[in-house]
Amino acid sequence: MSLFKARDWWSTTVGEAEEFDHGCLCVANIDNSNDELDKIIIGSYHGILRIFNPKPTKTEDGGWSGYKPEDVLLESALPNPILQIEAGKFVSGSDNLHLAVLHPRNLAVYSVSVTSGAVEHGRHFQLKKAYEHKLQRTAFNFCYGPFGGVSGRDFLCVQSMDGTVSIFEQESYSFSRFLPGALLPGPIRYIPKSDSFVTVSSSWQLECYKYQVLAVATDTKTKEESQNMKSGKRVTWDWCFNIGEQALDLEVVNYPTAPPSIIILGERNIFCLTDTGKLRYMKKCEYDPSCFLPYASLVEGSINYLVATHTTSSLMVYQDIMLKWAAKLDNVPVEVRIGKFQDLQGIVVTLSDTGRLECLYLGTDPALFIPPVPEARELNYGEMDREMAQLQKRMKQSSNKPVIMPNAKQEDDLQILVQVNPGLDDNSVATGLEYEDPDPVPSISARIQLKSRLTIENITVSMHADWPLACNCGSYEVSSVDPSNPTENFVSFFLKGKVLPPTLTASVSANYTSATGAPRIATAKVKLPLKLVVKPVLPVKNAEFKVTLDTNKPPANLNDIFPDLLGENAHGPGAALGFQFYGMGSIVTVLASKTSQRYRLQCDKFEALWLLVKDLAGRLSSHFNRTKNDNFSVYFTGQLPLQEYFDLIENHFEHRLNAERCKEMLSQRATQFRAIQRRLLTRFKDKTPAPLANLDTLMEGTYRQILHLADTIEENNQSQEMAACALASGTHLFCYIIKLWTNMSQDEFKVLTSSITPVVSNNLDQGWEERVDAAVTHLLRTTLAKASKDQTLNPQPLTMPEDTTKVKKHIALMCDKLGKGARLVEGLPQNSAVNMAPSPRKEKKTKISATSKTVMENGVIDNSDDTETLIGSQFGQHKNKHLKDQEIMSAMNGLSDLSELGLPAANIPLEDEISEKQRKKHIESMVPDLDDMEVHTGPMALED
Amino acid sequence: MKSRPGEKLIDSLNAVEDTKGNNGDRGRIIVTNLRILWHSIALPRVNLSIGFNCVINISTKTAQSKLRGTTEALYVLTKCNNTRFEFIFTNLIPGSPRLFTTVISVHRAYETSKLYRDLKLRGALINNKQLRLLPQEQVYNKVNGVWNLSSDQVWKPRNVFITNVRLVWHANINESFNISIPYLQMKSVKIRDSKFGLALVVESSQQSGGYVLGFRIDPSEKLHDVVKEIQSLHRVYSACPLFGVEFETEERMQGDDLAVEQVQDECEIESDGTSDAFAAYFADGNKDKDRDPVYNEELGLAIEKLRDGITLQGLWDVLA
Repeated sequence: MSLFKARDWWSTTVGEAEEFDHGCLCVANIDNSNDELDKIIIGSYHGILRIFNPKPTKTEDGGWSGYKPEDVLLESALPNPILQIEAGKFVSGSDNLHLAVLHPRNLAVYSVSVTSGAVEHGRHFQLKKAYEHKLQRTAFNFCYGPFGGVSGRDFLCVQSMDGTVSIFEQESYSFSRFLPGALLPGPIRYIPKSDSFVTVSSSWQLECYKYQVLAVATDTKTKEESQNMKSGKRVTWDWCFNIGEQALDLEVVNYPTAPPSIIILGERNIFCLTDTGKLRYMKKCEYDPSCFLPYASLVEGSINYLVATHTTSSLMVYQDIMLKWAAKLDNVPVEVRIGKFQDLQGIVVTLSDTGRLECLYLGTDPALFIPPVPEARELNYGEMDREMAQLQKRMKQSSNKPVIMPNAKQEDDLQILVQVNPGLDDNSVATGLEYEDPDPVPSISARIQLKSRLTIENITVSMHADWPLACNCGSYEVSSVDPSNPTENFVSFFLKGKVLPPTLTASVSANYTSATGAPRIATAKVKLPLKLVVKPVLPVKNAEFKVTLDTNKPPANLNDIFPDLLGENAHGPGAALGFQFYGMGSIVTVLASKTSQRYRLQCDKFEALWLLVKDLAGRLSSHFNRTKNDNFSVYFTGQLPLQEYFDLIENHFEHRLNAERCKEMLSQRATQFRAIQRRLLTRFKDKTPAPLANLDTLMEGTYRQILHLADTIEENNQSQEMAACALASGTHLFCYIIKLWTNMSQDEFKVLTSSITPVVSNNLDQGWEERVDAAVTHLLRTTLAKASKDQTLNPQPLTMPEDTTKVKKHIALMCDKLGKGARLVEGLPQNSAVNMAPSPRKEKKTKISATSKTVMENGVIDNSDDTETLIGSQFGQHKNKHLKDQEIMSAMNGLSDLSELGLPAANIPLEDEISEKQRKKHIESMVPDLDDMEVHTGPMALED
Repeated sequence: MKSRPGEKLIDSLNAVEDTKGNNGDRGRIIVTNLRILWHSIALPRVNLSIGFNCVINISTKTAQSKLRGTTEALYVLTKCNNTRFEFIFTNLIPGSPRLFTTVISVHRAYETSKLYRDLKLRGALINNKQLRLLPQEQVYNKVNGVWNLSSDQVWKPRNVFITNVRLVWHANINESFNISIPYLQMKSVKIRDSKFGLALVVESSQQSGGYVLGFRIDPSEKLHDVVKEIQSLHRVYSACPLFGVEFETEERMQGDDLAVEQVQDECEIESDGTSDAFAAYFADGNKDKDRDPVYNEELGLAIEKLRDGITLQGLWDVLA
């Protein structure tokens, strides 16, 4: 704020952990020495009275010698806190200055005397108590002056905390008066000219009381004046002036060259009034004042005063309302005084609340100092380069990450361990099943353990199994886990819905708040065994769909492969096993070739093969790959089951179309219903009712239609869910077969499964067909594109297609490209490991009718690719007759028969008719069939 | 760091920036019972030491740090040989008030224990003829009938208290006339011949005012005994001084002690323009000395004498 600083002339820190405030500083020639130099008197709230005589001397370098121990004239520990000290002629018969000290419960007047010594530090000062008044009320402050116009003497007026003033005529007590309306006391001063007191009351106004009025306002009943009076006459003020704020301090000045004035320092303003209560001027402060001091009238008619401020800690010098000077202080003073020390007058003395006592003069050199920049040190460029490189490396690493993910590993506070029991539950907990099965439906228990490094509270553990699997317990809460005490819980999983399960995994997740307060989730996957969903039955000889797996090892006995799923086949030769899904008729038969290294799986439903194919491959590889050197592997050399797969897509899509149609119809009917309602309402409102004209019949009809439609939608949703599960299973199988067929790496398989995704969700705006179509098209245009010119990206909007032609076409095209050795991950050499070119089955070839043009719709795909025709054509017209019939039927019946669209009728094995003896024969008779197949498929492949 | 006898390490913080002189440099601040030390981590030869005796004021204000930006910092205003220096330290660990609390409370402990170290005249030391003892002080001996040779009233008997920290003398008749001299401020203690005969003469150090205090003790055997006692206590104190700055540290500090007490490698100091190092910390700028204060009629206050040809009004108008 200020360019100028207050210069330190002499300073010291007073006291040891003592506190000071307004009233604690007094500057006067208290020892009445002849040189009339001022001394500094300080009283602390800790009751210690000190008198200083600053006598700095000039040192050689031009500075001041500062504080010396001999500058202390006197230090005396008084028994009570010191509230205020003033110097005045308080002792009768003496013109000397004496010191009045106000304690909370007494007022003492002391004289300070000197005994000179041989040397300066030999002088000793003595504090002698002249007299003391005990106070009945707790004192707040006091003022002094020649009350009543006495000359050469000062009387004392003590104001107590309750606003009572007590007058002491030096050694004798005079009287006490209550000031009216007193709540909190304020600063009080005596005006000699009008012989009255001024104070700022708690009603924020300046009040003036005549001394005479106070003196004569005695209670007539009690002639005796005493301090401990309880009541008194109500006195009134002579005049008052509203200042509207709390006053910090108040001074009465009477300089010869200026009119007598009252100056009030408020919290925001400075007021100057005449001694009769008329405002002379007022100054608004732009700072928080801490204390002030009027000190002189240097120009005729104006008053000079100092103001110290809080936040900026500066000292302002005003002449009336004009700022004459400002200087920066080092401390915020609580009291400021002016004194004459040595031969220098006009020294500013300040005292801070912590006891920093400073004697200052005003510096006149502007402080334009800007600290010089520190000398630049020799920079270590090598070090800086290294640091730079390190930082850039880190930035690069973090920018490589697509998303900034919290590093879960670091804070893995909670661990979930899930263990599935090796055997099924003795007592099945499977309830609420949506299907019926002659055999008891099993369930399997899993043990969930929670382990933590720290104590974690309020953990929610939830279990999730993909439909149609379910868990007997959706979620449970754990109140707390600590490292020494892991928790353990058991849950059971079982097959609930009447759908083929696409996966056999369940997930367990725990939701908790980490020690740092961040929400965290820990998850674990559970693999459920196959026996949870299938039961062993007798194998079935004929089935519509077949998948053959080739291996590089002689075939194993199936009894060794499926020891836990033998059932009544346990004593068989181990060449054929049958499995039936709970709740569904489909039987999957697994056949092992006697002579060749092949296994065949067959079923009436294509999608039902998936879990068995996966399980068989896994079991075989663990059966043969006992050591590291056993290079057992499974191949697929047959034809890709494109048609079967496309049927599933078609079926799923049909349901979606139906759902759309139903929705449309429902909204139409609803509109119609509302229209009828409206008409009916107008008729009923009419005062002269018109005939209803069969509107009620129409309304009821529409209502029935809506109900029927809602039922239909519900049914369709259910069957769509089934179709979705079937499609998911089929997609799993299809991708797995492609993997075996092209000997795909794990990376490629990842790309494949994320393009032809086995996640079929029903309730999104984007259906499976358009998503897969978009993904496959993208692959065809990028990774699988022949040349870079084909690599154009022009994504199409994801809307529900008209039919499934496009997606089927693109999948077929992709399979063809993969068959030709294309890779799904860039940078791999061309695949020569494709086991066998896919060949359409002989009997179906006759049905090829689509031309190559059907494939070329988007133009980007190369026209000259011949093989597209071959593969792409397969899906064109051919339909399973069974499905076809159904389609026709559903088209005919409208929406009423949607539920029948579900799954083709199961081929129920004729178990009952086959006797025990026949059963064995039956299995045996099936086996040679497999060997025929080899011969059969061989030339077929050659044909293409 | 090699500390002087009686100096104790109180706290050490490893991430503090000297915002004024070495902005942008990470350093370590060490607080002992007598001073504050700071040195750069990268270059330990860049260091500074502030004795608490020079400190005028310690406060917290907002500062601009290269390492932390605008932040709360510790301002230490000091005065040494009439030159005022200002230091600003910034704690680089956000939200840790340890720097502020330690330095401020140690400074407060230092301020409130001045009687251990400073010569004091005419203090409130005696209460009812008994010495007000400091917390760690013990009275070893009390000698009556001692005459002070600095006062005219030499024939009035005085008392002397000899403690483990200081020598206190006071007049029997006036308790407020007394002297307290810690051994720390004693330059010499010897027997000298004076105009009043053989006397005990205590010379105080220059910084405490360079007083020569004479005491007469009768008989001379007693004088010799007292002098011997004071001399030996002075020696004991010099070897193991008691500064009276007591600071309770928390438990965790004990472990840090050993780690911090490492001895800095000695390095050659090449003095080429080292005087400039002070420049960064000047509180008043490059002003070497003030002109004499004079009374100014215009303000009615003491001001620094104006330069020739400059008026106060003119100077003020420049600002306004």
